[in-house]
Amino acid sequence: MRTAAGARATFPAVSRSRARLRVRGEGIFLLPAAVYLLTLALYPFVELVRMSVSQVTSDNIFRDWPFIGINGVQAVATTADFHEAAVNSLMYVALVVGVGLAGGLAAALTLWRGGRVAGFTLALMVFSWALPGLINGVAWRFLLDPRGMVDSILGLFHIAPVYWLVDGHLPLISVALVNAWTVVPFATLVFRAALLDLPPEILAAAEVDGARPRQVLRHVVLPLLRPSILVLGVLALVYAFKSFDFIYVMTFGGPGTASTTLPFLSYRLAFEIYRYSQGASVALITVAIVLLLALLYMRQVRREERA
Amino acid sequence: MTSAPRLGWATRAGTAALLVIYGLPFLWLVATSLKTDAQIFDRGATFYFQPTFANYRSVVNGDLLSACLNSAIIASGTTVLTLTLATPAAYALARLRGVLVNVGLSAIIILQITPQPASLIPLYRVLGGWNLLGSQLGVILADTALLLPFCILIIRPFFLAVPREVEEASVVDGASRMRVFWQIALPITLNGIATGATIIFFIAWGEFLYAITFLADPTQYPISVLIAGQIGMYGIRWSNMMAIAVAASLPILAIYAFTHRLLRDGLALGSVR
Repeated sequence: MRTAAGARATFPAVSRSRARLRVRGEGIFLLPAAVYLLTLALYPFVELVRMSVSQVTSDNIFRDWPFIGINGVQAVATTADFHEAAVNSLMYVALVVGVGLAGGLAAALTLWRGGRVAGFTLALMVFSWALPGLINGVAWRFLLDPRGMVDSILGLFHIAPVYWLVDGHLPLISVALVNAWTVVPFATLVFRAALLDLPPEILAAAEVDGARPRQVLRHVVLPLLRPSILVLGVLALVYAFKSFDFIYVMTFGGPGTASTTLPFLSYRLAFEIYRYSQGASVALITVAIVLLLALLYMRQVRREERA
Repeated sequence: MTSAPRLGWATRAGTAALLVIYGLPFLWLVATSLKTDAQIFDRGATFYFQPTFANYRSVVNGDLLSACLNSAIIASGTTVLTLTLATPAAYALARLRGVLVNVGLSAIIILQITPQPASLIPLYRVLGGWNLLGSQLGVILADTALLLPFCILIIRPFFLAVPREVEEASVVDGASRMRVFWQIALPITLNGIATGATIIFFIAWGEFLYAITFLADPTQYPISVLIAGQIGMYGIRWSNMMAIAVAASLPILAIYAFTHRLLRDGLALGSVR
């Protein structure tokens, strides 16, 4: 297709080829990915929906699934396990999004002026983002051991070891903070790009007007970063809600169910006790919640932008 | 960068804090991988110890190397297949207008929101039907299905950044759509494609859920499954575990050394637009 033959064929009818440019030409490019996703992503998604309204056990998983309707979904959504996981998910997401964005903003402002040290620091941070969640999770599981790095450092200040992955609500918070640790570098990159895009005249003008650095940040820089904050907010929300690897390797949802979020509950239902339909229902409810939150969020953003 | 507000001491303190928060864990892990089991939890040996390569000697064996090879096969296969499908799709979604784009992007976003475990059972059935369970090809196909939507979302902004006029000029000159894609759009967006390829490779390298579920023969396991498989056991041998983790991170570090500028500039592009 890289030969001139194709070009010569369309040459006589320039106006027609312009029309084709808009109508037919591009559709073909979409086709391979569309077919692939229909077969291996959308079809499984439809199966997931079917599974949630059928009775699926380990006996009939590879045969026909009897239809039981929406009752199963309702039944799951009213269990205590589901409520706990939903609350855990919200806490987890709030922490990852909040710490991720605030940390990213602080880091981007810190590294804004550039230079060698800043460049190295940024490269180091982004490396931790690039590492798979599996490796980061394993590493932090060790670092958070009562005899690991964090408690050793606390020990230098004569603080008793903290059982980060064992005590009460701490496991959920610890995993969320580790997850946020990998979100911060990404947020830093996005904020950094936005900062570098700021028109220098505006900053210079603020300085000439005698604004102090703190005031420039608060009244000039932050408002200009708003679009980046909003976009990152929705990206981090979606990402944090479906986070799975960190919980799998750091706590496996435990102790008990203390750090079980919705995606992890769905996994446990299906693969620990083989309640496939319930697992599918929880997964679908999770998707619905994220979609709803994302849509509400974006509507709010649009409304504010118009106002 | 004279335009940035001067926050002398705050900048220095902040940079130092970031270096500690992101540097210390890595130093600690590498140090751990060079310690004996007895030294790991010995407070006296936290900073001063005689490094030993015993962990690496016991961990680096035929099994680990073949696991790395398996990871390389799965991750490269996934990267090539994903990029082959995602690049033209991202191009189409950047150039087309109207309902098709909205439908396509909505579908991609819903897939992107779905948690990975949700697709395990349905994919197990699909791959089983094609006799691909227990084969690395099956894992590659599943990983590609997982990462294709994300990859399209990464690359699309790079095509959006190519002005239409550039392409239209060559169409007037008689180039076909395919030729415009190959000779004009693709060369300008190589950075975007490389960014996408790097990220997909990294994620596929660390993917363990599909691999642990769809593969049955331990000789086919990638290194991610070696790590995930050991984590469930009681009494993890941390010295060995950290040696494996360091070994699994090295290929990523090697690639990252060449692509970090690309990632630094390319990632922001996707989310700002």
